[in-house]
Amino acid sequence: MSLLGLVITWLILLAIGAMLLRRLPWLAGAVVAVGLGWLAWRIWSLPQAETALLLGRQVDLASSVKMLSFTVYLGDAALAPTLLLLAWGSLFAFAGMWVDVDRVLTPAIPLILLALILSLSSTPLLWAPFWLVVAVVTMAFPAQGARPRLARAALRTLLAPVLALPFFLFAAWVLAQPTMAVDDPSLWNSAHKALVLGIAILFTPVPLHGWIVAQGDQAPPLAAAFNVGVWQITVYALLRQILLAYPAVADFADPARWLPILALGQMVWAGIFALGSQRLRQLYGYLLLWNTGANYLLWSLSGEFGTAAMSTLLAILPLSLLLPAVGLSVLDSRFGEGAAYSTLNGALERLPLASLAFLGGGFFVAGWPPGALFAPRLATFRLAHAGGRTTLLLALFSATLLTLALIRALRNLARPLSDPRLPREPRRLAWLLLPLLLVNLLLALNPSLTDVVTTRLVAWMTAL
Amino acid sequence: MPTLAEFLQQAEPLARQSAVPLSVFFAAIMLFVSDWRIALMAFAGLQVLAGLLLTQLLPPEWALLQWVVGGLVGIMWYLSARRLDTIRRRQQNIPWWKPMWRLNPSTLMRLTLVVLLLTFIAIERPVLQVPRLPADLARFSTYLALAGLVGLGLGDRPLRWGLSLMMWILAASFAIHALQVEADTVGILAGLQIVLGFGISYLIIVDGARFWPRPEDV
Repeated sequence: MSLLGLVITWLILLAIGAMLLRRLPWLAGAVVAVGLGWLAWRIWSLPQAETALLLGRQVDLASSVKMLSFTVYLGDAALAPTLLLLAWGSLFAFAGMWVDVDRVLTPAIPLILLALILSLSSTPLLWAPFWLVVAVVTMAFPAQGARPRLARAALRTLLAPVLALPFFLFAAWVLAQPTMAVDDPSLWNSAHKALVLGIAILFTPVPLHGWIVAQGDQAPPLAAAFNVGVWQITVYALLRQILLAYPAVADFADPARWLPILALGQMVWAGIFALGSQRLRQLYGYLLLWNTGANYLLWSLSGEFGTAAMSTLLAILPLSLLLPAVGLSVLDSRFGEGAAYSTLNGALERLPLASLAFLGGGFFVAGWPPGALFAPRLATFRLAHAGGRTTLLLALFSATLLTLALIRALRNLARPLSDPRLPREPRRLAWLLLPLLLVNLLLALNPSLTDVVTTRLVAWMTAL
Repeated sequence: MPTLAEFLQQAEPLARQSAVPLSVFFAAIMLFVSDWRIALMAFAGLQVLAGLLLTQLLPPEWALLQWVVGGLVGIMWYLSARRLDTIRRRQQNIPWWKPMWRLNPSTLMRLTLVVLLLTFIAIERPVLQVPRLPADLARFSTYLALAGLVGLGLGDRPLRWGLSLMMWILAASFAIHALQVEADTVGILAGLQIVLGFGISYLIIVDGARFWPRPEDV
């Protein structure tokens, strides 16, 4: 049995188990969290050999899985993002269990991860967007949640990979013909341009960013953070592989020039519209967009495909991103989804933990101490300074706008209580939020705590 | 019952002369009509004609897979939309036979956009330069791609998004199959349509149920 075969089987079993237990959401969450955590741990501790013993079976680490015409192989480059995806899945399943998230998210987590892992393991590489389409269709279910609501978030999530897939298929066929560059140079060039276009669509820059904001605005908060986060991990890893496999793409659109522009576009756009938000959900959507832009900015400014910097960032990102998601889930349950700022009377008084988690998490995502993202954001600004004054000014401008937007949200959450019947938040919330805050503080004080993880991830990603 | 070869021989005049104009008409209907039944009938018509047109690029057995895929997707969407419609009519006491025409500003705006698109196509004649794709099919696939993108900008209703995404994929099918005649690619594009059809049919239900007086019926 191959390693990927084992991962596929395990994830499908977890999804079935969570589906059967969906009437007991806490148990389903626990099963998925433990199952994904166990798998991540086993992959982390794989020996440097050709075979390993997993679940009592001899697993051949070098063999691939063939499904119809698809060949999928979990190589070293895909192992690091796979590990990150599993860790994210485990954390979100655990948080979902703790805050009684709706019953759709937990069973969907293993299936989303499965589709994303298959896309990272796809051969030929340029067929990967097919699995991304499968992933976004699966993401549509948690984005829609367990009750009827506007399908905007789910629909917009479908858009990027469906629009991008034809460009990748076209490029895949042309670039697979070794003599095409000589036989038909114009077709060869068209294929590269198509690849650039496909990459740009997957990157979802402004104005193709709509799905990220729609996820934050319309989808359940935990599902939105999960969908946007795992999409970022996958797209980063996939584009990194594509740029390594097809370096000629850089002749048509230089990533070192275009990536910072696209990332800054996302950040500034998000900052401006975050400041104009009228609802917490809207602010949350732009927070997710700003975070996406800031992550891509770090990637584009740190050389060598940003491998080390992005590995660290993506490993610690969920610890900060979970805070606003959990806080907003609780606020939503009390004030209703899409509650306007003007109706949030007494939030800070009756729901102090949830309000502070939302605001604190927002500040942490923006890079303020004592959040775990303080060091990566500081590194981003220092690299921006080295890259040029305009880059730094735009990055700081967007961060300032986002900070002002969060201060505005704080003022609204601190409105005096008007309805004495407003119920308080559940006490168990503290047992999730306080450890998260503590971990954020520890990582802000000593960022090198993640070095063990980062070193391994970088070694996998840079292995030839 | 005619064999496949005999059927294609009989359908050849249709495929050569009328299939493209009829498909353009069906695509326009899909974009602006508000009644889901008419939109789905136009979708079925477009899929049938697309299958015939694809026989110019692919072996007939593979080209007519478009009928199977379109049929499966159409049935899924029909069942979802009909379920919504039935419950809404029951809850609002509207008999099943009463048509639900809506000539509201939204429909008129869509109609205007479709007319503008057709005028743009007629005047500018934009053509996607895809190697090995016959000129009429290139112009048709350009129209389908533009119509799909216009449809995506017309709002956030799942059925219309589904129809628009299908037009985009159909446009891509012509461009890609002109280059490569491989079972893998045919399978990927067919699989893509079925996966999307499945997702959209779910979204049709959960989005539409918002308007029911008792959403718990979902």
